[in-house]
Amino acid sequence: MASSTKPVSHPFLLLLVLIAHAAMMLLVALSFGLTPEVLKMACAVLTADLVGSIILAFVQREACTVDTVMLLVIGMSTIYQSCFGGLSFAVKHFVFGIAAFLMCQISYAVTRNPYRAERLKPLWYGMFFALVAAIFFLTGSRGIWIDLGVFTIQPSEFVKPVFVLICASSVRTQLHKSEVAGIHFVPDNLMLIFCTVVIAALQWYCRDLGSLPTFVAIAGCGILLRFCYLREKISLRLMIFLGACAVMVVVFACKFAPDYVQDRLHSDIWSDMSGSGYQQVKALTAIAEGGWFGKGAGNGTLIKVAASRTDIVFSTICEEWGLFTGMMTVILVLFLPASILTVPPRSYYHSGLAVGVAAAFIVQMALNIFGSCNVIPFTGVTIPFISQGGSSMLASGILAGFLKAAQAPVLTDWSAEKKEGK
Amino acid sequence: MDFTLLFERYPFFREAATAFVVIFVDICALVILIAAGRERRRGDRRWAKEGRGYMLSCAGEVYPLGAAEVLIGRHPSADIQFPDTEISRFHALLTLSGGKWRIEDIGAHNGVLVNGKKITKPCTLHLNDAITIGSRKLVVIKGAGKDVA
Repeated sequence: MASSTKPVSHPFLLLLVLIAHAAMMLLVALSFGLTPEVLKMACAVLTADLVGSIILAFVQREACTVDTVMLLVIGMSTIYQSCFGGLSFAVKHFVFGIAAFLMCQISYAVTRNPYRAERLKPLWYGMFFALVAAIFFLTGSRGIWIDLGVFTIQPSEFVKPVFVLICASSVRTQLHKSEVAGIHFVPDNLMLIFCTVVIAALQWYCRDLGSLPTFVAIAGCGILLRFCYLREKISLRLMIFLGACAVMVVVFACKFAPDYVQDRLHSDIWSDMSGSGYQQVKALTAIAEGGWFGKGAGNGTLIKVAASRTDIVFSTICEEWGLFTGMMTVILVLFLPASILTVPPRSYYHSGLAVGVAAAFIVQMALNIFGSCNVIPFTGVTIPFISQGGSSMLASGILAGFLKAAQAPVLTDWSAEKKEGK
Repeated sequence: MDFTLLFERYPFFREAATAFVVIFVDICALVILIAAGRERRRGDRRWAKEGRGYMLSCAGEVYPLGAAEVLIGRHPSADIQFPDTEISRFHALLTLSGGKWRIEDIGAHNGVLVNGKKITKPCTLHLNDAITIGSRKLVVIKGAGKDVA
């Protein structure tokens, strides 16, 4: 869609992002003094804001909320990561944050046209099975990481956006039915179920059960949207059936989960504070010690605990910056999927994409935060854009691009236009 | 003045500074939320322009078109649902592409007529076109209303 509407508030919002980062940097400077490291970080974050603002103001004018929140969150997470346990500019995290922002623009451009994105589905299936094969063959013995020497990649993170693309579907695809032995079915739905089973089995095999709920949530939303195609009322019977299925899956998963998962499910962290409950005890203690306004940037001790920058990053932020800041960060990340409520998607394919992204973001954040707070067993899932990790950061950027696409679509079916032209 | 020492000696100053930053960033988040509300209005305007504000009218009932794909049929999942037996479960599909609404027959038993002519391929709709589906006659009109899809 060639839209000429200009986002009136866009430059003002980007200015606010810049000022918010400047305020945070001022606090860091007050805590650590004006060291070269502080100046380096301030230059990097504020320059990124300025360059991002200029690019967005002159090149990309659509769906400014997603871009603005992304810039704000990436800058904030860079400042957090740089200050954990003492000042050291997190260059790698910052670079991946910028790369995630670029990936967001690329995935937005690719999926902006729902007709084209839907037609590219064979490509998404190809990518899905290529990534599954990479996890199976290249990660070593039942692992999830591919070691390339210079850096490591977690391919299961990249499966998430591809899986979201697979889960989304249009009305036309749902109307395309095949018949085998008198049974009518939608081939795309069958493929989705097959892909869900494949990824669930692979996650189980690789012992990456932390990511499994995220995939199940994405698939569940995709399947539920298809069940309810398009505006069919969700009947009480259907809800009871789906609820019963979900309970059965959870009971089955708990009963047949590997031993280490069984341990986490049944162990009391306070009775095994130096063993299996070590990380959660430390994480909870750190949140309590941080209080509302934290111990101060760089004054935390949780950094000594494993996965403090990734899996229990919420506790690390709360310890140094306070519960207020931790909660605010969570709300800011939740802004991204919530943005689809303000500008509703105008195509069913984009609705599927938006719901899939919302499911992925919300489940990941819930697993991370509730895991840190001992509400659920510790899962080791990252918070999008906040936790350290290049694969997670890039995958989150791609997912954010889908949200942008749902907000500012191009609704032109070029193949239909060509046909009509002929 | 060494603020690092000040913060160490008087934690109140550190707390006050942190509170200031947190409240400030909170305000930024709030403003972004308000801006998102503005985006909604812009999105609605964009959609009205893209979809030309077209709606369907049938026997005094108005069906605004709120998504790029609108399904007409007897099935409960259809966006515009008619319970008539002469209308197929999935009868016709309206699609928006390049600012043009098209209607196509998606395997209906009784077909779809546009201005009295049975359509065999997707047909572009114009203002005041009459669509006949079973015994129902829908007219393409322009205006504002609540979206159906």
